[in-house]
Amino acid sequence: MNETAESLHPLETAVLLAFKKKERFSSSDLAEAAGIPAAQLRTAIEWLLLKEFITVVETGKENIVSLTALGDSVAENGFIESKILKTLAGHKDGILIKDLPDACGLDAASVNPLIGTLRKSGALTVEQGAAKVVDLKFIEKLEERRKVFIKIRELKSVDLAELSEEERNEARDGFKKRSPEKGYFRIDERTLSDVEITSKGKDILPCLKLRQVINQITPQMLSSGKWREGEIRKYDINLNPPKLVIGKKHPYRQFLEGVRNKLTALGFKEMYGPLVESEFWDMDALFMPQFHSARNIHDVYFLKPSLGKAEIAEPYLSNVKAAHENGGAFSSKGWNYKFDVDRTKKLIMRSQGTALSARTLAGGPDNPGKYFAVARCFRYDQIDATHGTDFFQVEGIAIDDNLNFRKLLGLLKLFAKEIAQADDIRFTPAYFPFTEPSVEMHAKHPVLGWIELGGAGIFRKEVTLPLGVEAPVIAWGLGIDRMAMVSLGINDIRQLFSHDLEFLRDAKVV
Amino acid sequence: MPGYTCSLKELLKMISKDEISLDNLEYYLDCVKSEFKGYDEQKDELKLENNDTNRPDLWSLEGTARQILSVHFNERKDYDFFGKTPESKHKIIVSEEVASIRPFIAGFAVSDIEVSDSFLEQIIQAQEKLCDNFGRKRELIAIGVYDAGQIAFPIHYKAAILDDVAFSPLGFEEKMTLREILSKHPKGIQYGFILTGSDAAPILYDDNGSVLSFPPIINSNDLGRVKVGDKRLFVEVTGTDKEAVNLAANIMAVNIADHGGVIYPFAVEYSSMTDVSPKIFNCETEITCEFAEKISGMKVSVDDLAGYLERMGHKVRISGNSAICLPPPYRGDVMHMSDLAEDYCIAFGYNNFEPEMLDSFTVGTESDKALFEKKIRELMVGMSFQEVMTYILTSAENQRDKMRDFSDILEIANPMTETFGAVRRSLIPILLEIESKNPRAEYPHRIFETGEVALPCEESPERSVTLYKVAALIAHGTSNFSEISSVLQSLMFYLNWDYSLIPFEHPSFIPGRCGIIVSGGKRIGIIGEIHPETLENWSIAMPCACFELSF
Repeated sequence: MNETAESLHPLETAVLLAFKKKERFSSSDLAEAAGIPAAQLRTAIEWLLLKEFITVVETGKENIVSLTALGDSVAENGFIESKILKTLAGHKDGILIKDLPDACGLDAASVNPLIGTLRKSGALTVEQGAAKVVDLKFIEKLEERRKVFIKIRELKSVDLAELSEEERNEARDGFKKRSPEKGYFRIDERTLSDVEITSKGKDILPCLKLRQVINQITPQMLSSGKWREGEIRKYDINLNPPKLVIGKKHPYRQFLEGVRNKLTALGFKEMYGPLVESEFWDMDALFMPQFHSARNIHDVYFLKPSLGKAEIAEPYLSNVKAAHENGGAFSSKGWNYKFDVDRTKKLIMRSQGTALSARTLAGGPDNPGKYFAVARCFRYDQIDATHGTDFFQVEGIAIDDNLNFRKLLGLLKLFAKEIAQADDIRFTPAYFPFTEPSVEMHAKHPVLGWIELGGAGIFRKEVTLPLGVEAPVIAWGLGIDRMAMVSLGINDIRQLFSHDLEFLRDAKVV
Repeated sequence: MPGYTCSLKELLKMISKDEISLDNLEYYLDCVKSEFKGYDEQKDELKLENNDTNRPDLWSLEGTARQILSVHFNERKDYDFFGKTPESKHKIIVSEEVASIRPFIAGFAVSDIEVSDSFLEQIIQAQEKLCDNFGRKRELIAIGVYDAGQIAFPIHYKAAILDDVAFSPLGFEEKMTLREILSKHPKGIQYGFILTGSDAAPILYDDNGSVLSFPPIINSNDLGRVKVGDKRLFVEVTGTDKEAVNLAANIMAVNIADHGGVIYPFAVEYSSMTDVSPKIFNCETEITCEFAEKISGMKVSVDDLAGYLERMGHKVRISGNSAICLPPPYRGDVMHMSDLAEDYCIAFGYNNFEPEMLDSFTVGTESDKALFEKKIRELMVGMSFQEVMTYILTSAENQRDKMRDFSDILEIANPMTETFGAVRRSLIPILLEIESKNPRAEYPHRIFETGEVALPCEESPERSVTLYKVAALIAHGTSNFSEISSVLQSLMFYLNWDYSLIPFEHPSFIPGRCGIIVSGGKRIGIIGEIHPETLENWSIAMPCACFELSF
């Protein structure tokens, strides 16, 4: 009980303590007894009702009288009848009925229906179409009746029982039950109730203390020590706190950083390079023949020709040209066609991360060496749920004098384990123009099931020798987008680059 | 990657091994480098896709069956028509004029074949894949198939002026000149590009002077039509590369031979020499055991090596510790010893290799750019900015017009849509685009992006330069210069990067509330309140302040 008492809001405590004086209050008395404003009282009553410390008892009904708009106009301006009679009083010969509304400064709709009633009550006569006033005393009677209108207007509303008999009759006569707006008064029935303490409420009463309650601890309280004099209110700690808008990394970034961390942990060094590439570094250096079907305007993005042509450094250009045409000095037959030197200088948007590997090979890589890139690449694809205009490719190379196919498979197995958490893997023969042998790895991802995790191979000698590398080089690439989508909980690749701020703010930490 | 379809029943019949069914077909397809793409049971249609763009022999029912039989069951047909002497009438006489247009041709005749619907379907598919994919839309090679029963041999391969010759092309009754065919016939419109720039075109006649076809465009409506029930065929391949022409003819020949057809080679009489087709054009390539071991990482005897290579179709002779391979006539992909090394690995079975861990030690590091970007990101997040990531391709309108800044930008020559027709040079337009799309997200908005942009740069070998940038934007009812400036100040303070601001007028920003960020005498970025007119261009009704910095 004590604990409950302590967790009560000060308003609740104030209301309950009022019941020490008596067990039952009308709502208005209760506000006074508890010493709190009516609005706060209502809140406190609601809380206490829920906790069953108090109950509400009906005590009867009251009829509340108030003015309608019509009644309000009577209180303000007097009866229309009075206006008509006063106007007529100024014309001894009377006024033609058709001219009467104008003469009164009123409209016909409100004047005409009253003429019949006034005649019946003997206030006026109608002869030859003209109305004449008969009983001037009638005006005084109307003014007398108007007093109750003014009284109710001042009170705004009043219990019918509190009015005199005459006033009550006036109110009842002026109330039109079916259509209240056509009458002068409204009479509304209202239920009266008292608030009573329950037995549960009585039980808690002895535990309640009206104390100085501290809501917010202030620096002043701390420095003055005043916090000791009050009691720090206990909170309902399960109330929903306000939501914070915080700063956060992009969820896709978090995923990519995870991949990057794995690769550096496995001993790979990061490469980076230009977004705008020559066809030379993007494709020719990788021994993709210039007639290869993935090299036309429906596969890669070309820069506008006004930008000009790339400069390709020697001896790479001559070496690569020879490798393509007839194998050059690299013990190959080559592709057996005329290599177009102008074509190789065309500028395109990097279409594969392997372009960075080609540049790394030409730049004199470490041996042994391992390299990777998380590279933006661009392909001419219709944007849809599985294709973006640009995307990240994770790929790289490994260089070592004693590399071979089994080590390539070992490396792929390691990737499967470290990057896709997959123990089950399967290798299938594949084809890439720049590797031989080429392999594709399928791995059993814990959520996605069997996926094509990546492609790899040993770079052809036609790739490595023209770039000046003698040692065997493994080239590999990983397909990570589907894994990223799983870890972000999305099923449309476009959401990886979402512009929706609420989506980004709500995204969980990956 | 070439996709092809075939009847599953036909495929299984051609392999005729009880242990293969739809259930385990994928396992056998590995050695073909073909992927199972689906099976329509009602139509008995198997969808396959071949991953090897350099092995056109595999893009067919026949090639698929041939490879599975050879690799898994060590069974190979002896195509003994290679090397047979052609009969005297079986020849193609090549005129000198074609040398400058479409110089090479190969051909052969077939007998003892029963042309059925399914045979026709397979042959047409093989022909189309060879012409479109391998033949680069008929530019490199084109194939014609004819009913040999109507042809008077020998064949004459000539050149004609476009207006001088007329015949009825396939699908048309009336005669058209070659020029009319190029402008009116659907195939003429589709493939006419191959012949542009010349007034002469190649043409094939039989010995009676009747037109067989107008290669590489269209066959004749009279002689160039193959029907169900035909028993004898003539096949020709024309093209610009001799080896490609021979390879395509060889593939057509072995495919038809696999259906039981008897192949009759043809002599091809050029003015300077006489050739024959189908023909063995490959030369021998040697692979040493040492190389095979070095590549595969496994010990292998020369006999075993030779055995595996035979399973890939090679004719192998052993010389010391080397296997000397003559690739089969339907393959033109062997350029180097490493191609043979892969063949050996495939025949051995990729999954039969024991993977081995790399044993050399290397130090892993992130790039200096990535490391610096990370520091910036940590600080921006610490200042409660939400990171955004966006496409690098964007529209010229967003980067230029809406920013009221018409300086140079990198543009794509062949954009799919204008929305992605330019390379971003600044991240600020992208932050504004995001702001314009999120007026309902609770304010304040504090967003940033780090990433690559690219700009034209004449001095660079790629005529452009890729820069790493960070940009931040604040949008809310009272956002202003001082607020964004204090963000920049904190960022630079913790990065230990000295900078100063120099007042600057830029059309995107409000004059007097904009500055360039300068460090070490170099301009490294810009900061300011976005000009209301810029905001109007973006339909943004919230004041925005931002900065951008290169690092």
